[in-house]
Amino acid sequence: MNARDSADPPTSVVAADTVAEPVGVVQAERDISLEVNGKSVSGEVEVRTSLADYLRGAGYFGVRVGCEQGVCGACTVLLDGRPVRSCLVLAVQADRRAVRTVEGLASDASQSDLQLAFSQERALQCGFCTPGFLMLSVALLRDHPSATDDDVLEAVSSDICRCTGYHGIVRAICRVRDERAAVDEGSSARGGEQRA
Amino acid sequence: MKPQRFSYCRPDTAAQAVALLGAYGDEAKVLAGGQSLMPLLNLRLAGPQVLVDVSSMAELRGIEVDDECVTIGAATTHQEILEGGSLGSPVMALLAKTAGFIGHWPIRTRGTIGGSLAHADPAAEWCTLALALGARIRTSGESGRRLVPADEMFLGPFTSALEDTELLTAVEFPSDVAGYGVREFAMRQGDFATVVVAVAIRSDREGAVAVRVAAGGIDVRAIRIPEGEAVLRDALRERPVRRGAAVDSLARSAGAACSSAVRPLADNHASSAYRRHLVGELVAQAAADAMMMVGDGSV
Repeated sequence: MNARDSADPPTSVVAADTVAEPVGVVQAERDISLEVNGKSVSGEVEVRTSLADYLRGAGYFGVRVGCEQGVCGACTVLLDGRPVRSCLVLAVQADRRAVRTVEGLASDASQSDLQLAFSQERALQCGFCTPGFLMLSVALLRDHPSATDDDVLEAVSSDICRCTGYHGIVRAICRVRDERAAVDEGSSARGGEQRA
Repeated sequence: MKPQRFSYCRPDTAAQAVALLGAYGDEAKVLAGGQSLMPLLNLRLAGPQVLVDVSSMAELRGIEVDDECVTIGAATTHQEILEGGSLGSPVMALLAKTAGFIGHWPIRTRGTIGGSLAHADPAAEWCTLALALGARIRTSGESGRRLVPADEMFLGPFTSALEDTELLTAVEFPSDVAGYGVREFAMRQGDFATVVVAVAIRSDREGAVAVRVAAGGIDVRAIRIPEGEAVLRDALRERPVRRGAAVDSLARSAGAACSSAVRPLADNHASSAYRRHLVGELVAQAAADAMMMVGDGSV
Protein backbone atom coordinates (compact mmCIF):
# COMPACT_ATOMS: atom_id res chain seq x y z
CA MET A 1 0.00 0.00 0.00
CA ASN A 2 1.14 3.45 -0.86
CA ALA A 3 1.72 5.67 2.16
CA ARG A 4 -0.44 8.42 0.61
CA ASP A 5 -3.28 5.95 0.52
CA SER A 6 -3.98 6.18 4.23
CA ALA A 7 -4.07 9.98 4.29
CA ASP A 8 -7.56 11.34 3.84
CA PRO A 9 -7.86 13.39 0.67
CA PRO A 10 -9.23 16.87 1.15
CA THR A 11 -12.96 17.35 1.40
CA SER A 12 -13.99 20.96 1.47
CA VAL A 13 -15.72 23.82 -0.24
CA VAL A 14 -13.29 26.32 -1.68
CA ALA A 15 -14.23 29.97 -1.98
CA ALA A 16 -12.10 32.17 -4.15
CA ASP A 17 -11.83 35.95 -4.24
CA THR A 18 -12.33 36.05 -7.98
CA VAL A 19 -15.82 34.54 -7.90
CA ALA A 20 -18.78 35.33 -5.75
CA GLU A 21 -19.89 31.79 -5.03
CA PRO A 22 -18.12 28.70 -3.76
CA VAL A 23 -16.31 27.33 -6.77
CA GLY A 24 -17.13 23.69 -6.47
CA VAL A 25 -17.60 21.03 -3.88
CA VAL A 26 -14.55 18.84 -3.46
CA GLN A 27 -15.66 15.39 -2.38
CA ALA A 28 -14.19 11.95 -1.72
CA GLU A 29 -17.65 10.36 -1.93
CA ARG A 30 -20.53 11.51 -4.04
CA ASP A 31 -24.17 10.57 -4.61
CA ILE A 32 -24.83 9.61 -8.19
CA SER A 33 -27.84 8.52 -10.15
CA LEU A 34 -27.66 7.05 -13.62
CA GLU A 35 -29.84 5.12 -15.99
CA VAL A 36 -28.56 1.65 -16.86
CA ASN A 37 -30.44 -0.16 -19.63
CA GLY A 38 -33.45 2.04 -18.92
CA LYS A 39 -33.48 1.42 -15.16
CA SER A 40 -32.46 3.99 -12.57
CA VAL A 41 -29.43 3.07 -10.48
CA SER A 42 -28.26 5.34 -7.70
CA GLY A 43 -26.18 5.44 -4.57
CA GLU A 44 -23.09 6.88 -2.94
CA VAL A 45 -19.73 6.06 -4.53
CA GLU A 46 -16.15 6.67 -3.65
CA VAL A 47 -15.15 9.12 -6.38
CA ARG A 48 -12.17 6.99 -7.49
CA THR A 49 -14.55 4.17 -8.54
CA SER A 50 -14.47 3.53 -12.27
CA LEU A 51 -17.74 3.22 -14.16
CA ALA A 52 -16.74 -0.40 -14.95
CA ASP A 53 -16.34 -1.31 -11.28
CA TYR A 54 -19.50 0.58 -10.35
CA LEU A 55 -21.55 -1.30 -12.94
CA ARG A 56 -20.17 -4.66 -11.81
CA GLY A 57 -20.92 -3.70 -8.22
CA ALA A 58 -24.51 -2.99 -9.29
CA GLY A 59 -24.77 -6.50 -10.76
CA TYR A 60 -23.93 -5.79 -14.40
CA PHE A 61 -21.30 -8.52 -14.64
CA GLY A 62 -21.33 -8.39 -18.44
CA VAL A 63 -19.00 -5.41 -18.06
CA ARG A 64 -15.60 -7.10 -18.10
CA VAL A 65 -12.57 -5.58 -16.49
CA GLY A 66 -9.48 -6.58 -18.42
CA CYS A 67 -6.51 -4.25 -18.68
CA GLU A 68 -7.88 -1.23 -16.74
CA GLN A 69 -5.86 1.07 -19.00
CA GLY A 70 -8.10 1.46 -22.02
CA VAL A 71 -6.32 -0.97 -24.30
CA CYS A 72 -8.37 -4.19 -24.36
CA GLY A 73 -11.92 -2.89 -24.83
CA ALA A 74 -13.57 -5.64 -22.75
CA CYS A 75 -15.28 -2.98 -20.59
CA THR A 76 -16.79 -1.10 -23.57
CA VAL A 77 -20.30 0.21 -22.82
CA LEU A 78 -22.44 2.90 -24.40
CA LEU A 79 -22.52 6.21 -22.48
CA ASP A 80 -25.29 8.42 -23.86
CA GLY A 81 -25.17 6.15 -26.91
CA ARG A 82 -21.46 6.50 -27.56
CA PRO A 83 -18.98 3.65 -27.06
CA VAL A 84 -16.53 4.32 -24.20
CA ARG A 85 -13.99 2.42 -22.16
CA SER A 86 -15.79 2.22 -18.82
CA CYS A 87 -12.46 1.61 -17.05
CA LEU A 88 -11.37 5.12 -18.10
CA VAL A 89 -14.58 6.86 -17.03
CA LEU A 90 -15.25 7.58 -13.37
CA ALA A 91 -18.65 6.51 -12.09
CA VAL A 92 -19.21 10.13 -10.96
CA GLN A 93 -18.75 11.25 -14.57
CA ALA A 94 -21.71 9.08 -15.58
CA ASP A 95 -23.97 10.85 -13.09
CA ARG A 96 -27.33 11.72 -14.71
CA ARG A 97 -26.33 9.97 -17.92
CA ALA A 98 -27.62 6.87 -19.70
CA VAL A 99 -25.51 3.73 -19.86
CA ARG A 100 -26.19 0.67 -21.97
CA THR A 101 -24.50 -2.64 -21.22
CA VAL A 102 -24.68 -6.10 -22.81
CA GLU A 103 -27.46 -6.99 -20.35
CA GLY A 104 -29.65 -4.51 -22.22
CA LEU A 105 -29.38 -6.22 -25.60
CA ALA A 106 -31.64 -9.27 -25.25
CA SER A 107 -35.36 -8.72 -24.93
CA ASP A 108 -37.84 -11.16 -23.35
CA ALA A 109 -35.24 -13.91 -23.19
CA SER A 110 -34.58 -13.75 -26.91
CA GLN A 111 -31.13 -12.78 -28.09
CA SER A 112 -30.53 -9.70 -30.22
CA ASP A 113 -29.56 -10.29 -33.84
CA LEU A 114 -25.93 -9.49 -33.03
CA GLN A 115 -25.83 -11.93 -30.10
CA LEU A 116 -27.35 -14.66 -32.27
CA ALA A 117 -24.90 -13.99 -35.09
CA PHE A 118 -21.94 -14.05 -32.67
CA SER A 119 -22.98 -17.52 -31.47
CA GLN A 120 -23.76 -18.87 -34.94
CA GLU A 121 -20.60 -17.53 -36.56
CA ARG A 122 -18.42 -18.82 -33.69
CA ALA A 123 -17.36 -15.30 -32.85
CA LEU A 124 -16.42 -16.31 -29.32
CA GLN A 125 -14.61 -19.03 -27.47
CA CYS A 126 -13.99 -18.05 -23.86
CA GLY A 127 -16.43 -15.14 -24.11
CA PHE A 128 -14.55 -12.74 -21.87
CA CYS A 129 -14.20 -10.04 -24.52
CA THR A 130 -17.61 -10.64 -26.13
CA PRO A 131 -19.69 -8.02 -24.28
CA GLY A 132 -17.22 -5.32 -25.32
CA PHE A 133 -17.31 -6.44 -28.95
CA LEU A 134 -21.11 -6.58 -28.87
CA MET A 135 -21.51 -3.05 -27.50
CA LEU A 136 -19.01 -1.72 -30.03
CA SER A 137 -20.92 -3.51 -32.81
CA VAL A 138 -24.27 -2.14 -31.65
CA ALA A 139 -22.93 1.41 -31.98
CA LEU A 140 -21.09 0.69 -35.23
CA LEU A 141 -24.10 -0.69 -37.09
CA ARG A 142 -26.38 2.01 -35.68
CA ASP A 143 -24.11 4.85 -36.87
CA HIS A 144 -22.78 3.10 -39.99
CA PRO A 145 -25.42 0.64 -41.22
CA SER A 146 -23.56 0.19 -44.50
CA ALA A 147 -20.06 -0.13 -43.04
CA THR A 148 -17.74 -1.99 -45.41
CA ASP A 149 -15.96 -5.18 -44.35
CA ASP A 150 -12.82 -3.07 -43.94
CA ASP A 151 -14.68 -0.54 -41.75
CA VAL A 152 -15.83 -3.42 -39.55
CA LEU A 153 -12.31 -4.86 -39.36
CA GLU A 154 -10.91 -1.46 -38.42
CA ALA A 155 -13.59 -0.88 -35.78
CA VAL A 156 -13.05 -4.24 -34.05
CA SER A 157 -9.29 -3.69 -34.01
CA SER A 158 -10.15 -1.41 -31.08
CA ASP A 159 -10.87 -4.46 -28.88
CA ILE A 160 -8.65 -7.42 -28.03
CA CYS A 161 -9.77 -11.03 -28.50
CA ARG A 162 -7.09 -13.62 -27.85
CA CYS A 163 -9.17 -16.70 -28.84
CA THR A 164 -10.86 -16.32 -32.19
CA GLY A 165 -8.54 -14.50 -34.56
CA TYR A 166 -11.35 -12.00 -35.25
CA HIS A 167 -12.65 -13.71 -38.43
CA GLY A 168 -15.76 -15.01 -36.71
CA ILE A 169 -16.41 -11.63 -35.09
CA VAL A 170 -16.13 -9.79 -38.41
CA ARG A 171 -18.35 -12.42 -40.12
CA ALA A 172 -20.99 -12.05 -37.42
CA ILE A 173 -21.13 -8.25 -37.64
CA CYS A 174 -21.17 -8.26 -41.46
CA ARG A 175 -23.92 -10.89 -41.42
CA VAL A 176 -26.13 -8.70 -39.23
CA ARG A 177 -25.36 -5.68 -41.41
CA ASP A 178 -26.49 -7.66 -44.48
CA GLU A 179 -29.55 -9.13 -42.77
CA ARG A 180 -30.70 -5.70 -41.61
CA ALA A 181 -30.13 -4.25 -45.09
CA ALA A 182 -32.20 -7.07 -46.62
CA VAL A 183 -35.03 -6.45 -44.14
CA ASP A 184 -34.92 -2.71 -44.87
CA GLU A 185 -35.03 -3.40 -48.59
CA GLY A 186 -37.94 -5.80 -48.14
CA SER A 187 -39.91 -3.37 -46.01
CA SER A 188 -39.33 -0.42 -48.34
CA ALA A 189 -40.41 -2.59 -51.29
CA ARG A 190 -43.57 -3.54 -49.42
CA GLY A 191 -44.06 0.09 -48.44
CA GLY A 192 -43.80 0.97 -52.13
CA GLU A 193 -46.51 -1.56 -53.03
CA GLN A 194 -48.79 -0.21 -50.35
CA ARG A 195 -48.29 3.32 -51.59
CA ALA A 196 -48.98 2.13 -55.14
CA MET B 1 -5.13 -1.87 -10.50
CA LYS B 2 -7.27 0.81 -8.91
CA PRO B 3 -6.35 4.46 -8.40
CA GLN B 4 -5.32 5.61 -4.95
CA ARG B 5 -7.86 7.73 -3.09
CA PHE B 6 -8.47 11.23 -4.33
CA SER B 7 -11.12 13.90 -4.10
CA TYR B 8 -13.13 15.12 -7.03
CA CYS B 9 -14.85 18.28 -8.13
CA ARG B 10 -16.68 19.36 -11.25
CA PRO B 11 -16.66 23.16 -11.46
CA ASP B 12 -19.14 24.81 -13.83
CA THR B 13 -16.84 27.50 -15.20
CA ALA B 14 -13.19 27.97 -16.14
CA ALA B 15 -12.90 30.70 -13.47
CA GLN B 16 -14.00 28.22 -10.82
CA ALA B 17 -11.57 25.60 -12.13
CA VAL B 18 -8.72 28.13 -12.00
CA ALA B 19 -9.64 29.04 -8.40
CA LEU B 20 -9.55 25.36 -7.44
CA LEU B 21 -6.21 24.86 -9.16
CA GLY B 22 -4.91 27.90 -7.31
CA ALA B 23 -6.12 26.49 -4.00
CA TYR B 24 -4.61 23.03 -4.43
CA GLY B 25 -1.57 23.79 -6.60
CA ASP B 26 0.41 20.73 -7.65
CA GLU B 27 -1.82 18.46 -5.54
CA ALA B 28 -4.56 18.96 -8.14
CA LYS B 29 -4.76 17.59 -11.64
CA VAL B 30 -7.16 18.62 -14.39
CA LEU B 31 -9.27 15.73 -15.70
CA ALA B 32 -10.44 16.22 -19.28
CA GLY B 33 -11.26 13.13 -21.38
CA GLY B 34 -9.24 10.88 -19.10
CA GLN B 35 -7.82 8.72 -21.88
CA SER B 36 -4.24 9.37 -20.71
CA LEU B 37 -4.77 10.45 -17.10
CA MET B 38 -7.07 7.58 -16.07
CA PRO B 39 -4.57 4.86 -17.11
CA LEU B 40 -1.87 6.76 -15.17
CA LEU B 41 -4.16 6.84 -12.11
CA ASN B 42 -5.16 3.18 -12.48
CA LEU B 43 -1.50 2.16 -12.74
CA ARG B 44 -0.68 4.49 -9.81
CA LEU B 45 1.90 6.27 -11.89
CA ALA B 46 0.11 9.47 -10.88
CA GLY B 47 -1.46 10.18 -7.49
CA PRO B 48 -3.06 13.62 -7.34
CA GLN B 49 -5.05 14.53 -4.21
CA VAL B 50 -7.75 16.35 -6.15
CA LEU B 51 -9.16 15.89 -9.65
CA VAL B 52 -10.75 18.95 -11.26
CA ASP B 53 -13.09 17.56 -13.92
CA VAL B 54 -13.58 19.92 -16.87
CA SER B 55 -14.79 17.29 -19.35
CA SER B 56 -18.38 18.51 -19.44
CA MET B 57 -17.74 22.23 -18.93
CA ALA B 58 -19.84 24.04 -21.55
CA GLU B 59 -17.47 26.99 -22.08
CA LEU B 60 -14.59 24.63 -22.95
CA ARG B 61 -16.51 22.77 -25.63
CA GLY B 62 -17.18 23.46 -29.28
CA ILE B 63 -15.64 24.53 -32.58
CA GLU B 64 -15.72 28.08 -33.93
CA VAL B 65 -14.72 28.84 -37.51
CA ASP B 66 -14.12 32.44 -38.62
CA ASP B 67 -12.00 34.12 -41.31
CA GLU B 68 -8.90 34.25 -39.15
CA CYS B 69 -8.80 30.90 -37.42
CA VAL B 70 -10.49 27.76 -36.23
CA THR B 71 -10.85 27.91 -32.45
CA ILE B 72 -11.48 24.64 -30.65
CA GLY B 73 -12.51 24.46 -26.99
CA ALA B 74 -10.14 22.40 -24.86
CA ALA B 75 -12.75 19.83 -23.84
CA THR B 76 -13.86 19.16 -27.44
CA THR B 77 -13.36 15.48 -28.22
CA HIS B 78 -11.31 14.03 -31.07
CA GLN B 79 -14.51 12.46 -32.42
CA GLU B 80 -16.30 15.82 -32.47
CA ILE B 81 -13.40 17.29 -34.44
CA LEU B 82 -13.44 14.29 -36.80
CA GLU B 83 -17.15 14.89 -37.41
CA GLY B 84 -16.54 18.65 -37.79
CA GLY B 85 -14.73 18.06 -41.10
CA SER B 86 -17.95 18.92 -42.90
CA LEU B 87 -17.94 22.52 -41.60
CA GLY B 88 -16.45 23.63 -44.91
CA SER B 89 -13.26 25.26 -43.65
CA PRO B 90 -10.10 23.83 -45.28
CA VAL B 91 -8.21 23.94 -41.97
CA MET B 92 -11.12 22.11 -40.37
CA ALA B 93 -10.76 19.40 -43.00
CA LEU B 94 -7.11 19.03 -41.98
CA LEU B 95 -8.07 18.88 -38.29
CA ALA B 96 -10.68 16.21 -39.04
CA LYS B 97 -8.16 14.14 -40.98
CA THR B 98 -5.69 14.43 -38.11
CA ALA B 99 -8.32 13.40 -35.55
CA GLY B 100 -8.86 10.23 -37.57
CA PHE B 101 -5.31 9.12 -36.79
CA ILE B 102 -5.95 9.23 -33.06
CA GLY B 103 -6.74 6.01 -31.21
CA HIS B 104 -9.93 4.06 -31.75
CA TRP B 105 -13.54 5.24 -31.78
CA PRO B 106 -14.20 4.56 -28.05
CA ILE B 107 -11.03 6.51 -27.23
CA ARG B 108 -11.91 9.40 -29.56
CA THR B 109 -15.37 9.75 -28.01
CA ARG B 110 -13.76 10.73 -24.68
CA GLY B 111 -10.26 12.03 -25.44
CA THR B 112 -9.99 15.81 -25.88
CA ILE B 113 -7.74 18.13 -27.89
CA GLY B 114 -6.92 20.24 -24.82
CA GLY B 115 -6.05 17.18 -22.78
CA SER B 116 -3.74 15.99 -25.53
CA LEU B 117 -1.97 19.37 -25.84
CA ALA B 118 -1.57 19.68 -22.06
CA HIS B 119 -0.34 16.08 -21.76
CA ALA B 120 2.35 16.89 -24.38
CA ASP B 121 3.01 13.32 -25.46
CA PRO B 122 6.05 13.41 -27.79
CA ALA B 123 4.13 11.32 -30.36
CA ALA B 124 0.84 13.23 -30.15
CA GLU B 125 -0.83 14.25 -33.40
CA TRP B 126 -2.25 17.50 -31.98
CA CYS B 127 1.13 18.70 -30.69
CA THR B 128 2.68 18.05 -34.11
CA LEU B 129 -0.13 19.78 -35.97
CA ALA B 130 -0.14 22.75 -33.56
CA LEU B 131 3.55 23.32 -34.36
CA ALA B 132 3.05 22.97 -38.12
CA LEU B 133 0.12 25.39 -38.24
CA GLY B 134 1.62 27.85 -35.73
CA ALA B 135 -1.33 27.39 -33.40
CA ARG B 136 -1.88 29.52 -30.30
CA ILE B 137 -2.90 27.92 -27.03
CA ARG B 138 -5.27 29.87 -24.77
CA THR B 139 -4.74 29.45 -21.06
CA SER B 140 -6.40 30.87 -18.00
CA GLY B 141 -4.65 31.22 -14.67
CA GLU B 142 -4.71 33.13 -11.40
CA SER B 143 -2.60 35.90 -12.90
CA GLY B 144 -4.77 36.18 -16.00
CA ARG B 145 -4.99 34.80 -19.48
CA ARG B 146 -2.16 33.88 -21.82
CA LEU B 147 -1.92 33.07 -25.51
CA VAL B 148 0.99 30.65 -25.81
CA PRO B 149 2.47 30.08 -29.28
CA ALA B 150 2.81 26.37 -30.04
CA ASP B 151 6.55 26.94 -30.55
CA GLU B 152 6.81 27.74 -26.82
CA MET B 153 4.36 25.14 -25.54
CA PHE B 154 6.10 21.77 -25.63
CA LEU B 155 9.17 21.61 -23.41
CA GLY B 156 9.91 17.92 -23.03
CA PRO B 157 8.31 14.50 -22.59
CA PHE B 158 4.86 15.10 -21.05
CA THR B 159 5.99 18.59 -20.06
CA SER B 160 4.33 21.74 -21.36
CA ALA B 161 4.59 25.46 -20.62
CA LEU B 162 1.36 25.26 -18.60
CA GLU B 163 1.75 26.25 -14.94
CA ASP B 164 0.31 23.93 -12.26
CA THR B 165 -2.42 26.47 -11.60
CA GLU B 166 -3.21 27.19 -15.25
CA LEU B 167 -6.06 25.75 -17.27
CA LEU B 168 -5.79 25.20 -21.03
CA THR B 169 -9.07 26.60 -22.34
CA ALA B 170 -8.84 26.51 -26.15
CA VAL B 171 -6.53 26.32 -29.15
CA GLU B 172 -6.55 28.61 -32.18
CA PHE B 173 -5.42 27.25 -35.54
CA PRO B 174 -4.79 30.10 -38.04
CA SER B 175 -6.65 29.62 -41.33
CA ASP B 176 -4.22 31.58 -43.55
CA VAL B 177 -2.48 28.50 -44.94
CA ALA B 178 -2.27 27.95 -48.70
CA GLY B 179 -1.46 24.27 -48.52
CA TYR B 180 -0.88 21.60 -45.95
CA GLY B 181 -0.40 17.88 -45.45
CA VAL B 182 -0.40 15.49 -42.52
CA ARG B 183 0.91 11.94 -42.71
CA GLU B 184 1.35 9.25 -40.10
CA PHE B 185 2.81 5.79 -39.84
CA ALA B 186 1.65 3.43 -37.09
CA MET B 187 1.89 -0.36 -37.01
CA ARG B 188 -1.88 -0.68 -36.61
CA GLN B 189 -4.78 1.76 -36.92
CA GLY B 190 -5.25 3.36 -33.52
CA ASP B 191 -1.72 2.80 -32.25
CA PHE B 192 0.47 5.67 -31.15
CA ALA B 193 2.27 7.16 -34.14
CA THR B 194 5.67 5.64 -34.88
CA VAL B 195 6.20 8.92 -36.73
CA VAL B 196 3.70 11.66 -37.56
CA VAL B 197 4.58 14.70 -39.69
CA ALA B 198 2.73 17.84 -40.78
CA VAL B 199 3.67 20.44 -43.38
CA ALA B 200 2.05 23.87 -43.83
CA ILE B 201 2.74 26.46 -46.53
CA ARG B 202 1.72 30.11 -46.23
CA SER B 203 2.13 32.78 -48.88
CA ASP B 204 1.02 36.40 -49.07
CA ARG B 205 0.29 38.66 -52.07
CA GLU B 206 3.82 40.06 -52.07
CA GLY B 207 5.12 36.57 -52.71
CA ALA B 208 6.59 35.98 -49.27
CA VAL B 209 6.46 32.29 -48.45
CA ALA B 210 6.58 30.72 -45.00
CA VAL B 211 6.85 26.99 -44.46
CA ARG B 212 6.54 24.92 -41.31
CA VAL B 213 7.48 21.25 -41.01
CA ALA B 214 6.81 19.43 -37.73
CA ALA B 215 7.25 15.84 -36.56
CA GLY B 216 6.16 13.76 -33.58
CA GLY B 217 7.38 10.41 -32.33
CA ILE B 218 11.07 11.08 -32.94
CA ASP B 219 12.24 13.26 -30.04
CA VAL B 220 11.40 14.04 -26.42
CA ARG B 221 8.72 16.38 -27.73
CA ALA B 222 7.05 17.27 -31.01
CA ILE B 223 9.61 19.33 -32.95
CA ARG B 224 9.96 21.49 -36.04
CA ILE B 225 12.56 20.55 -38.65
CA PRO B 226 14.09 23.86 -39.87
CA GLU B 227 16.31 22.12 -42.46
CA GLY B 228 13.25 20.80 -44.32
CA GLU B 229 11.45 24.12 -43.96
CA ALA B 230 14.40 25.93 -45.57
CA VAL B 231 14.48 23.62 -48.60
CA LEU B 232 10.79 24.15 -49.31
CA ARG B 233 10.77 27.88 -48.50
CA ASP B 234 13.77 28.74 -50.68
CA ALA B 235 12.43 26.79 -53.65
CA LEU B 236 8.87 28.09 -53.30
CA ARG B 237 10.05 31.71 -53.05
CA GLU B 238 11.50 31.35 -56.53
CA ARG B 239 8.46 29.61 -57.93
CA PRO B 240 5.45 29.45 -55.56
CA VAL B 241 3.24 27.17 -57.62
CA ARG B 242 4.50 23.79 -58.74
CA ARG B 243 2.80 20.99 -60.58
CA GLY B 244 3.48 17.41 -61.67
CA ALA B 245 7.05 16.17 -61.51
CA ALA B 246 8.27 19.47 -60.00
CA VAL B 247 6.16 18.73 -56.92
CA ASP B 248 7.64 15.27 -56.50
CA SER B 249 11.27 16.29 -56.89
CA LEU B 250 10.99 19.19 -54.42
CA ALA B 251 9.01 17.02 -51.98
CA ARG B 252 11.75 14.37 -52.18
CA SER B 253 14.45 16.98 -51.49
CA ALA B 254 12.56 18.26 -48.47
CA GLY B 255 12.10 14.70 -47.18
CA ALA B 256 15.80 13.97 -47.64
CA ALA B 257 16.79 17.19 -45.85
CA CYS B 258 14.56 16.30 -42.89
CA SER B 259 15.73 12.71 -42.81
CA SER B 260 19.39 13.69 -42.60
CA ALA B 261 18.69 16.46 -40.05
CA VAL B 262 16.86 14.42 -37.41
CA ARG B 263 18.35 12.02 -34.85
CA PRO B 264 15.27 10.05 -33.78
CA LEU B 265 15.06 8.22 -30.47
CA ALA B 266 14.76 4.43 -30.65
CA ASP B 267 12.34 2.29 -28.64
CA ASN B 268 10.85 -1.22 -28.73
CA HIS B 269 8.69 -0.28 -31.70
CA ALA B 270 11.25 1.19 -34.10
CA SER B 271 14.96 1.86 -34.39
CA SER B 272 16.38 5.32 -34.89
CA ALA B 273 17.33 4.48 -38.50
CA TYR B 274 13.81 3.24 -39.27
CA ARG B 275 12.23 6.38 -37.85
CA ARG B 276 14.69 8.53 -39.83
CA HIS B 277 13.61 6.71 -42.99
CA LEU B 278 9.95 7.27 -42.08
CA VAL B 279 10.56 11.00 -41.53
CA GLY B 280 11.97 11.26 -45.07
CA GLU B 281 9.07 9.37 -46.65
CA LEU B 282 6.30 11.04 -44.66
CA VAL B 283 7.66 14.58 -45.09
CA ALA B 284 7.92 13.97 -48.84
CA GLN B 285 4.29 12.81 -48.93
CA ALA B 286 2.98 15.63 -46.73
CA ALA B 287 4.99 18.27 -48.63
CA ALA B 288 3.60 16.95 -51.93
CA ASP B 289 0.06 17.13 -50.51
CA ALA B 290 0.69 20.72 -49.43
CA MET B 291 2.20 21.83 -52.76
CA MET B 292 -0.61 20.24 -54.77
CA MET B 293 -3.14 22.20 -52.69
CA VAL B 294 -1.25 25.41 -53.44
CA GLY B 295 -1.22 24.40 -57.13
CA ASP B 296 -4.96 23.71 -57.13
CA GLY B 297 -5.69 26.94 -55.32
CA SER B 298 -8.04 24.78 -53.27
CA VAL B 299 -7.54 26.81 -50.07
